[in-house]
Amino acid sequence: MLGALLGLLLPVNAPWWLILVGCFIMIVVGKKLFGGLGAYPVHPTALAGAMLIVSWPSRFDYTAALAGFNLDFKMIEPIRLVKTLGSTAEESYSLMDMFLGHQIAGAGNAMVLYLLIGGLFLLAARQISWHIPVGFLAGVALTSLALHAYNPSLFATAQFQLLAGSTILAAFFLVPDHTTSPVNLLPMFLSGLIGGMILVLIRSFSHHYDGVIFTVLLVNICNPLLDRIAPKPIVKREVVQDA
Amino acid sequence: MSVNTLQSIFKPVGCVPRYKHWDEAIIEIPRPDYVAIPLEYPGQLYYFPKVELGQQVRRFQIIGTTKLGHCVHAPVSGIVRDILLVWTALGFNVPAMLIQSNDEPALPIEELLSSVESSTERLTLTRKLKGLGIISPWTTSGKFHHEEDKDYPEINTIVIKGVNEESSVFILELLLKQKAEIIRKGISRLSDLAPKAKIILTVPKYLEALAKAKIGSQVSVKALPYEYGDRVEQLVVPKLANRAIPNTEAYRDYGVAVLSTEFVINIVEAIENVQPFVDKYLTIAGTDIPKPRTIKFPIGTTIRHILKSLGYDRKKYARILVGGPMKGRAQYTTYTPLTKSSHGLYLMTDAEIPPEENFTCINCGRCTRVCTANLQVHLIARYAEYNMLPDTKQYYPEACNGCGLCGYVCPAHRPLVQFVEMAKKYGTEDDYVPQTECSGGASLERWELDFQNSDPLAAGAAADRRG
Ligand code: SF4
Ligand code: SF4
Repeated sequence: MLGALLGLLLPVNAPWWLILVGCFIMIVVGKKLFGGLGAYPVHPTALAGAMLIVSWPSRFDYTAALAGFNLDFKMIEPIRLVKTLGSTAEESYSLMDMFLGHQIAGAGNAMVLYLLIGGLFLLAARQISWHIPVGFLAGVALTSLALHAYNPSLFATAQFQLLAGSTILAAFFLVPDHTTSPVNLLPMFLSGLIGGMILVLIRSFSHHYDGVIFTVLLVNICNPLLDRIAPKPIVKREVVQDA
Repeated sequence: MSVNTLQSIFKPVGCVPRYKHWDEAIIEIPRPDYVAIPLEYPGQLYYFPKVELGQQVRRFQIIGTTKLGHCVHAPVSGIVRDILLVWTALGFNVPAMLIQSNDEPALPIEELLSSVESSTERLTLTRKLKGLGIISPWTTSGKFHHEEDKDYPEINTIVIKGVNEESSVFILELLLKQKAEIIRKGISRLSDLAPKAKIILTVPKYLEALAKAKIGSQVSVKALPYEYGDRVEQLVVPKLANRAIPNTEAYRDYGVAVLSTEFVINIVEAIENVQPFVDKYLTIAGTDIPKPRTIKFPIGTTIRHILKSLGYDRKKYARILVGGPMKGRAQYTTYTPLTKSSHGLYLMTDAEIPPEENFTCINCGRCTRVCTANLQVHLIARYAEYNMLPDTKQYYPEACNGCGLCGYVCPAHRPLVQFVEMAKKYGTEDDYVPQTECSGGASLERWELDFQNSDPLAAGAAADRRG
């Protein structure tokens, strides 16, 4: 599962050693060193992805990876173009194309339609509950709406943010990971919401193009805190009186 | 992929299986060769034996009494063979009286009553109930056997359970259906005893009309839904009584008494001099038993005898639970005698046992979201697992209802209820030591071999030799 997720995130021309190092970091450092399934504090895939991105930024360049091809859509990552040119760049992409996965991205992280089908299957099989994906998408939509309203020429629209890059992958596969997500309902929704906000903020203000990997790391470390918002059990407590 | 596989993929988490058919008849099982009557219910009752080893006792004869005069009776006529340690269905190792049954007639109820009377001045109703083996709901027994009839608030609500919370146990509804007349009589007795109390009868939905027609004039009938989560007693009772009652407190402290239709029948039988409380009902269910069967048996009968007399092969089942699939307890041995608190037997085949024990928690949170007491089950279980019981206190494990849903939904098949129970016991019992091993059933097994291989007299002699 983790390996497949990393595979989706990697650029299509990733050399074998990049995959090897990624998997090593993911399984040995991210997962086993922290105690294995159920015990790791942050999502190992996100951890490995982050390590690779900061170590070999040039190797993690989705656009460069596909430079030799000429497909029938704009040959540059949507988020990257929007970042450099402002939201007017959106016009060079059709939303339908992006929805069907016709956009420059990693090996599979932007196949919006297929990821959505997979995510809905997880929901239907009750492997994940709706709180995190819905919260995440709501967070993305609300934040980008607000930013777009504030400065329409600089910040991308909500529908663009939802379809570009790895938003859907994060909403259904990365953030709701059992081990690194909260267990109570309200915290689950909150963690999704916060994740969505962080994602749009990173995309809009930092120098990374697609902030999904860092978003996942950041929201994972908030979770123990969020999970303190738990419903109260019914117990009789002694009334403590101040002297 | 078969339809079943598909269904199992998409079924809601935590949906407890429900029986569509069950046997309506109540079968009386043949008399067992011997019974073992536990003399101690830890923390509640301690019976002092009133008969001698080797003495012939008759059915209904008093064989032990507590300090406060609660009595326990011989459920069969027979010879008292031994007092030995047995494991009860609740997992306690307690002394029990072994009676090897024979054909002596039962003690006439008048003689029993006179023996109850002679030990006190006059025979009040409470006194009579105690003497006939009924622990009255108006009193509760104290911790560590310091029993006392203390002053409780007046009873304001009586909840009579006409439906069992476990989906595999049918005794209460069957009795309600078949003995509605007796129950009606019993309820009018109850309203004499507690005139101000509001009496509520819970029934399964399909019996609502019948219960309203037959008993509705005396009680308010409340139909419970079929979902297990809505039937858990610790949730239903506070809702019906309209009070928040923490699990650490007794219902009685809040003026609430919880009875069952079976108990009402026992009260009527005692008051009307039919018989003391020596027979118990129980439903046998299991996944490979399409129609659960309900039986009546003398208290102290072993699981082994019941399975044998109904033709179940005990070797076919990997686990035998006393209770239902959710709250039941797996037994170490089929030599466990069944008591007043055994309402069901649940037979599990090998296929239902998780392939490996103690997977690690994947933190999916299903247990916590399903918990009927709003506990952070996954955290409590992890602390308990790593021997950090003191740290569980901050999560209030004592609020657990013991409903069993957490362990049921856990994809890792972790023994969550047991972990929470460890934490609960650690918090409430000062000298709690987690139990790790036990040698179940050896004592009764030895006796059964004796009974089978030799005539009763020789068996007695063998016991004498053992001293
Ligand atoms: S901890 Fe488990 S057994 Fe206890 S109330 Fe919660 S779900 Fe039920
Ligand atoms: S104990 Fe079981 S149900 Fe609870 S979070 Fe862990 S894996 Fe999930």
